[in-house]
Parts: sequence; structure tokens; C-alpha cells
Amino acid sequence: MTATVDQPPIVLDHVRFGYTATPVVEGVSLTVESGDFLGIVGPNGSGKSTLLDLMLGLRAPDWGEVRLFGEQATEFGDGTRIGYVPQDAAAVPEQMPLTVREVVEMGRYPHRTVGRFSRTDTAAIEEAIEAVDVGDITNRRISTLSGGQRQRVFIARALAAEADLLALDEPTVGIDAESVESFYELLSTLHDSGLTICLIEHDLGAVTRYATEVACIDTQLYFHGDSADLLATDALADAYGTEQRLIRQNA
Amino acid sequence: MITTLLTPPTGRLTQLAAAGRSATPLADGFDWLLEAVYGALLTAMSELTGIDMLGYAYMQRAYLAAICIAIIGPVVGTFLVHRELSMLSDTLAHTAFAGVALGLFLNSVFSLSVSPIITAFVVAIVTALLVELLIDHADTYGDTSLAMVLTGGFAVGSILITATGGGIAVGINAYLFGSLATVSKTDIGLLILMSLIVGAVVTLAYRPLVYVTFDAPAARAARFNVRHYKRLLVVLTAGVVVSAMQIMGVILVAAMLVIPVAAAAPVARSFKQSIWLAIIAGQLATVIGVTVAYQFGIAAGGSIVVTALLVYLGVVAGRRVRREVPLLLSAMLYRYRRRRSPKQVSADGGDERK
Repeated sequence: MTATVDQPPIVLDHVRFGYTATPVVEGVSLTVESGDFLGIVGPNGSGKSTLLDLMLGLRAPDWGEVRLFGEQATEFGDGTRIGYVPQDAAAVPEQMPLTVREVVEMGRYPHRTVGRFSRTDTAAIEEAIEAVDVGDITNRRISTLSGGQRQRVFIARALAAEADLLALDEPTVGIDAESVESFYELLSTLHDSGLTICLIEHDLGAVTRYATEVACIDTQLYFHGDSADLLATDALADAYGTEQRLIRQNA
Repeated sequence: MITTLLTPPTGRLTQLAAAGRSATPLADGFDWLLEAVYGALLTAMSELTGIDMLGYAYMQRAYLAAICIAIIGPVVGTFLVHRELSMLSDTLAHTAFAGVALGLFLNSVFSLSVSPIITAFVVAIVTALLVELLIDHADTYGDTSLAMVLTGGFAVGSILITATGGGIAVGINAYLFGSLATVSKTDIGLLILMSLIVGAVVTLAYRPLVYVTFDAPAARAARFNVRHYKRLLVVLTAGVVVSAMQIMGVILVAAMLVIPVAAAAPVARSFKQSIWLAIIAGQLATVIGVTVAYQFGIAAGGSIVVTALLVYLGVVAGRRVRREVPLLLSAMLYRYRRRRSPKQVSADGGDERK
């Protein structure tokens, strides 16, 4: 645990993965530096979610290597450093009695699996609730919240964990435009305070506006670099349409 | 009164004491608790209140069993129901039936004397682990896997029963429908042990279990061993189902893991509270169910489940009334006011029609 501070949160090195013989992710190498706000874009079925799973060590690559904070991703054991909001996380059934506070508290579970929460735990939970501005609805059931509010609660869960890396899989699907905007404002604020963010997004406009880096993938990596440069390249046309297979990497 | 409490009353309890001479100090202690403490207490209550049935040893055991079942069922059931795996309890109950049949079959063929409950435990736990795998990995929907295992278990059970030429079919009815009148001391011991295990496990693993129930992928990213906790839950379910099976019956036992939870879920103010409310709903169902069964001489399993359903319907109806009545009242008030004010503005804003 000594040198991990300086290690980049995520390093992918020639990663290949396939559920069958056909690869879903192939030859992807990219590094997420500490403090990056990376938007992952690509067409439907392009392997975005799989790539995020690989990054977080939830799947083992067939080829290549994935390192999380310097350790081999699948062997990485410190759950407190990762906050993950999976796809469809906000689809909470109406019968689920969990409250906003109970969901935020989950972020603290890796710190304290058994026993009473300490003062530090409670402080982290309160702070997280305040940071995403859900302080007045902590006792409400999560299922009674709007999509945008739910996503904020999931962010708070990651904040309560005091995670270094926040990973979100299409968090704004089915959320109204106004809430999407304020959701990205929140992510921007968190990014400014030093949080590393990896986000899958189908809305290219939002990504280029808020993310500092963009990775465009369709099985292969077509572009990785400054989000402002994405539109200047052919990467989008490549990933979303043509046969060209070329990786552009911005140094 | 104090003397009644201290000296266990003879008569009804002597048959209980004679039923099993225990060999170990632990079992002795358990017997003492069951007879001299719990039994004497209820007998005293029976004398105080004039309620006869509280004084009968078999009813005392029936109530104790009912109370245990209404704790372990809803507690484990809460995690199952909110993982949308309600059918798992029914599936494991039906495979436990195959386990009972297997035990009876082995005993009859090889002249062994293995308790069918032990084979039921083994078969249910093995199937539980298998089903956990199937739900995630079979090339079909999760509930299709459950339906296949459920019917498969029952099929194997029926084959084993008939394979001995009907010889072992005699005792099988008690397992199918359950029986409260024949709750043995071993059954009670098993249920109390199960209550302790469920209580301890759920207290220690509450947080990971809730996390995995609600959001398994995030729990995995937070480095909880999700597979491990999913297995824990299905094994606990198997344990609860088998230990409650003899009282509730194979066909009905799953109700105690599902109905009280369904009754608690809409009204609970938090997940934790939903567990407590489910236990309360379960206690209502079992205690009333057992009492009604005794009064009218009907099957206890059935009357417990019907009572549980009534509790559930009561909750649903109560919520409906709370939501609909204010609406209805305001609608009536609106109509009343409209009738009293003669001048009306029509809905189209009074535009002239051509």
C-alpha cells in the first residue's frame, strides 16, 4: 500500500475480452490519470460497459493487463476506493423499502461491515448527503425519487465511501434534460475537488462539454484524448460508421 | 403462583418428559427450559386467564414453533423477496420433499434409520447451491430455472415414494401438509437452533446482504464477495424451509417467507423497519392461525397461510382507503359546491360556437 498514491487509477494494456470467440473489446490500451474526467463514448453494443467492468476488475481480460491503482484489477481488494453506479441502478422497484439514507450508508459498508458506525463514518455520510443536496429527503424511500434525484443518491453513496474513483455506466438515461445538466454540474464540481471520474455516456454533447478526456470505442479504441479534439478528428465517423481502423492517441 | 412456576406441573408434561430421555447436559438444559420454564409459564398463564389450550403441552410446543417460524421466515424472506427470488423458497421446499422421500427410500431399501429431515437438509442445501448457479448461468430466465427445479424435485420425490410399492407413502402426508399436533421436542430444538443461526448470521452479515440484495454489481465493485453472500442466503433459505417444513408442510412453508414480507414492504419506512414489520405480520399470522386451527379443528398450515394473506390484504386495503377516501371526500365537496353556486363557467371558457 506504499506506492499506490502515485499510481494512476486505471491502466489498460492491450486488453482483449470476448464473451464468445468474437471479441467485444480488443487491443485497448489507455491510462486514466488521477484527476481525469473520462467520458467513454461509442455506438450501442460497442463494448463500453464491458470495458468499464474490465477497468474495475469485475471481469478478467482474455489478453492483456488491467491495473487498478497499481494492482492487478481483479485482485484489487480495497473496496473503499471505488464508487460504482451500474447501468439501470436507478431502476428501483416500488416495493423496495430502502431509504435515501440507507443507500448512502452503503458507501460506508466496505469501511465498516459489522458494528456501529463511528463518528468518522457518520460524518462522511452526512457530508455526502449535503454534497449532492438531498439533505431534506434522507428519510424518503429511494423508489419515490425522480431519476435525477436517484442518481444523486448513488453519487452520494460513492462519496460516503470517500472513493478515489467514481465510475458511472450511462447514468443519465431516461432523465430530463434539466436534471441532466445539473447532474453534470455536480460531477464537474466533484471533479474540480480532485475526484477521478469515468463515465459511459451516449450523449456526445454532454460528454464534450463536461468531460476533460474522451475515449471513443467500438471494440477497438478509436480515440483517446482531450474532449475538445474529438470532434476535430475522424474518430466518431470511424467508430460509428466507416471501415477505417486507426487509433489516434493524443499525447 | 410462584410455586406453580418453580415446580413443573406433572400430568400433561410427564408424557413429554417420557418421550425423549436425553443423554447430554445440553439436551437436559433444553428440556428444562422447554418444560420447567416455558411450559410452566404458559401453564400458569392458562390458569390465570382460563384459556385451556395454553395449558396443553402440545399446544405450548405449537405456539413456540409458530413463533420461531414467524421470525426466521420473514427475516430470510425479506432478502429473497427484494432480490425478486420469492419462488426460490417454494422451489427449495419441493426439493426438500425429494430429500424426505430419499431418506424414507434409503431407510426402506437398506433398512437404515436415517432421519428423513437430515436427507431433506442435504438435498435442499445442495439444490440451493445448484439453483444459485442456474439463476445466473442457465440459458433461460431465472424463474424458469426455479420452475424446472421445483417440479423436478417433486417428480423425483414422487418416483422414490412409489418405487417402494407404496410402502413409504404412508408417512408422506404429514410432510406434504404439515402438522402442528405432532410437533416433537426435536422439531422445536431444530427451530430454536435455526432461529439462533438466522439471528446471528443476519446480524453479522446484514450490511453485505442488504448491499447485494439491492445492487449486486456495486457491491462487487466495493469488493464484497457477492457470490459468497448469495450462496449464504440460499443456504439459509434451505435451512429455514426444512426446519419449518414439518409444521407448515412442504406445499405451504414458502408462504411464511413471502407473505409477511409482502405485507410489510409497502408500509415500512426503511429496509430495517420492513424486517421488523414482517416479523410482526408473521407473528400475527402464526399465532392467530394456530389458535383458529385449534378452535375449529382445521389444518394449522392452511389457517396460518390464510391468516397471513388476510394480514396482507388488510395492509393493501388500508393503504387504499387512506389514499382514496380523501380524494372521494374532496370530489363530493366539489360537487356539493357546484350545485350550490348557480352561475357556471363552462369548460370551454364560454367561447361562442359557430
